[in-house]
Amino acid sequence: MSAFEKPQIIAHIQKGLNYTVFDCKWVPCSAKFVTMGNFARGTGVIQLYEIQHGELKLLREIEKAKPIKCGTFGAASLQQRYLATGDFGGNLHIWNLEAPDIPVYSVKGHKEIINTVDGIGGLGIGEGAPEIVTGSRDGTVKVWDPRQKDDPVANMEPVKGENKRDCWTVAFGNAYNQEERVVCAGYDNGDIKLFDLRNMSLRWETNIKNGVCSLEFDRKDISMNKLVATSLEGKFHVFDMRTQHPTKGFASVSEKAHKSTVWQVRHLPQNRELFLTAGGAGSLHLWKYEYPVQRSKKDPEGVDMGVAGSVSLLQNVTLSTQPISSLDWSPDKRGLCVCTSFDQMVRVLIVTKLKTV
Amino acid sequence: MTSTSKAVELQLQVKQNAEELQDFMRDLENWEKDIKQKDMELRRQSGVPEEVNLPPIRNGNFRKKKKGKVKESSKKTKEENTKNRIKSYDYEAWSKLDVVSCSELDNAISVLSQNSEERGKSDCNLAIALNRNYAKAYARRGAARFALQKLEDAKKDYEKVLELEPNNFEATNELRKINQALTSKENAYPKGAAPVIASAEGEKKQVGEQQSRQQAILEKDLGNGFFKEGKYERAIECYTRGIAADGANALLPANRAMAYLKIEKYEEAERDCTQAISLDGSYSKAFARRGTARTFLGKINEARQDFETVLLLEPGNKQAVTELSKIKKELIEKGHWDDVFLDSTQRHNVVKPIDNPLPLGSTKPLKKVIIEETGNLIQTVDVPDSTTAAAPETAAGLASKKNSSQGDLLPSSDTPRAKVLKTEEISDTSALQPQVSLKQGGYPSPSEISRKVEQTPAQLVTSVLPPTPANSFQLESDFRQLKSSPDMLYQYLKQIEPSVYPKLFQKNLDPDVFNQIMRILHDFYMEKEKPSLIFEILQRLSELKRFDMAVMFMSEPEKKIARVLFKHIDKSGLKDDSVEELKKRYGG
Repeated sequence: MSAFEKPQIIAHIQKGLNYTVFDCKWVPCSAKFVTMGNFARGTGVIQLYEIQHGELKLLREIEKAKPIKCGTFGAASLQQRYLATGDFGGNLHIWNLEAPDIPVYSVKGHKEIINTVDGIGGLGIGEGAPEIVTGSRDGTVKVWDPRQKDDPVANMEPVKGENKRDCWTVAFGNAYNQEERVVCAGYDNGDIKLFDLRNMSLRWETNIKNGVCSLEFDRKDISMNKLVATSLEGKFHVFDMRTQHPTKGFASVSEKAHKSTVWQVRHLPQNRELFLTAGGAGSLHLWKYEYPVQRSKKDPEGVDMGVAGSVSLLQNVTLSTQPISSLDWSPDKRGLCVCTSFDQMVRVLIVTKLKTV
Repeated sequence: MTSTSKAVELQLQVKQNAEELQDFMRDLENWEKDIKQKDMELRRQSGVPEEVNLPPIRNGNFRKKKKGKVKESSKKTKEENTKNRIKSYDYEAWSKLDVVSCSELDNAISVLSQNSEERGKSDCNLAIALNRNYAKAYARRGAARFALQKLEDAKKDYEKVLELEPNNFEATNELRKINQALTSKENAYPKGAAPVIASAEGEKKQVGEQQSRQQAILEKDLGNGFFKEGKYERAIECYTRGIAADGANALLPANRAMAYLKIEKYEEAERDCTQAISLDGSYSKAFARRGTARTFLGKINEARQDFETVLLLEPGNKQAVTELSKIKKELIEKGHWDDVFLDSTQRHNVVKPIDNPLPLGSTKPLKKVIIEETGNLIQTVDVPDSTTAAAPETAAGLASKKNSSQGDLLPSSDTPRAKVLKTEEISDTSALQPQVSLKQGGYPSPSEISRKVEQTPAQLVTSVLPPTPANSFQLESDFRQLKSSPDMLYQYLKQIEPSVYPKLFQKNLDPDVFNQIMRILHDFYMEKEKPSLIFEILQRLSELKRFDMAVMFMSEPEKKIARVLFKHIDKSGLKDDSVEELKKRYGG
């Protein structure tokens, strides 16, 4: 591919913030996004921005007692678009951004900080009940149903006596019908665990040697296809999730992407073969996954095993000197993207030529 | 590639990219407009989500069942319960797919879902969905379908069971029955499997045991079926057969008790519950049912204790809470409201032991743990300590016995430690007089007793005479410990001076303890002690705050004991007004 056919990544709008920002998310069906973080005075903040003719307009600023680490709209309906957040105190809240004084749902879900949250069943994405999964430093991964107060509907924690690992990332997937659903969790020691919520069992686990910073299925609402896991030390792994071998598990391909931690991975909602990784040095890499000729083959015993494809770098760009900690594609506009970095900046990015890739 | 063509390419690229970006920007403007409109529309719907048919909350069924499971499982503490309950929390158990918990769930299904077979069936479906290889679920579904007269389906289920577990006895039996039913087209329910059992004779003893256990479960399921249909007598028959087959299953008597409750045979229900409790001391449902039975039988106090036990076993049990409040209301109506409140507060401080049946429980005797503030001890100690010459010996003896457990023997009474202890044993001289005088009555002197006591621990470790109690909790617990040996109880009671009763009991005279004291007076004091001492004890007891309440709870035999005691006092010539008055207070 010649240079001019490559997609370009352009910082469309940049804005400095007066707080440390941890996460950002597009509000579905709008030109708005939220940023979440903590003020220097130790309180939490949610800001709602809207793009208005190439400018960012702050619509709302909500201050809360505890710093907010992560958020998702994944379990909310399009009509409500409630934001679920996890904070430093281990609380899971669901906010109505129109009336943010009192949370719609509130639970002290974990003993320690909630590092990560993911939602499913809302926004018309994924079959089945709306559910939120949280992963925390206390080592547990809990699944919540906003219709049930106080108690999680599922709780995955290490057995007594086993070391508690800091859970850094969680992701829903496989929600292609009302029953099926999986939760994938990544831990600081490099463990990746795949929990089957239908059978309530651990379906698969592996270790990628370095702490797992981010996990994402290419789609949540299809039968598991691909899973990308990014890690400390700059590597990421793409697992082919279609074929599970009884002993070898899922086939994977790994790529050394950034020179430092790969903080985030996000698949393009309009094309699941493309994904963007955000690196520790403030760089963004756009990747394309190419499937092998045959996605599965027989091993010597005649059991199906997966075959991993390959990844190719489409574009990379360095935006900041500090790590880019969060990244979100607009679900509504192809090529529109927002990211935040630890230099307290929020950037709206434009990625061109995604249609032709 | 030449440098000129490179430059051209670069130019082209730059131009194209600029165009692309401009296109995108224009596009973005349009999109912005569109999406804002869409956004506004969504907002105008004011957050009312579309009506969608959402699946139920995950594990919701499981959650409901969980309650029943807790009751059934013989675990002592709530924490332990939660630990054992959802093993599915930990990875290892998850990967194994916890069949144990499934079986518990299944148990819960069979006992709890007392509404209809339909529900039982759907529960089984759920279990099957959870684990396709779970033969038991198939068996249960088969039973449910059988009861629903879906013979063909039931047959399929049992065949599936046999496929999974080729040696499953129950399935073979049931299949035979279904086949019989199919051929004869009789709609009658299976009339127990006794003949089938007989046909299965000649098999090994172990197999037989297993069979009888299975038989019991079968009967239980059958009984549950009848119960759900409201045919309580038939259910009772089934349960009775089940008990005969497997006497160690606590569920059977508990279920039979429920059936008895339904047909208002409360005495039988109470007896069955007691049996269930003796089989499984942590089976809170049995306690709850016994409580219900006892309420109907008018044994309010015992009922209250049962419900309190339920609450201990299962904090927050709604039935127990409502029943307790009902009982309390009843007591308040009768004018004993202070008793109600005092008693309930007192109970908070006591962690009651759980009586497990011998094979299930640990071999060590369970101890009641008393939680109290240490300040209380000092309070009881400040008794005048004028002691007679004979007393220190006793005190020292007892004290040394007490201290021997701590490793430092204090043979002489001149250390301050011993003095403090001594004051616990002997309060004042005047009160001691009757005791001293009774030495001539042929019974060994206190010092002899203490020496005896010192000897006994070596031989009988379990029946060590406890020291005099510092408060009523201790007294109650000691009483319970010594329950099995009335003689020890007598000696124990004897070391407590009647004059310290008010201090000892304060406001907590438990009717049970009271009745026990009466019995001891009757069984031992009448024979071995002077009537004047009995009289004094009775009088001291009557001065206690909750005495009237305790008298109210006296049963007929206990009242008889009181009458006999007073007759005894009368005979000894102590008859005067004070005795008459006391007699009246004791309901005589």
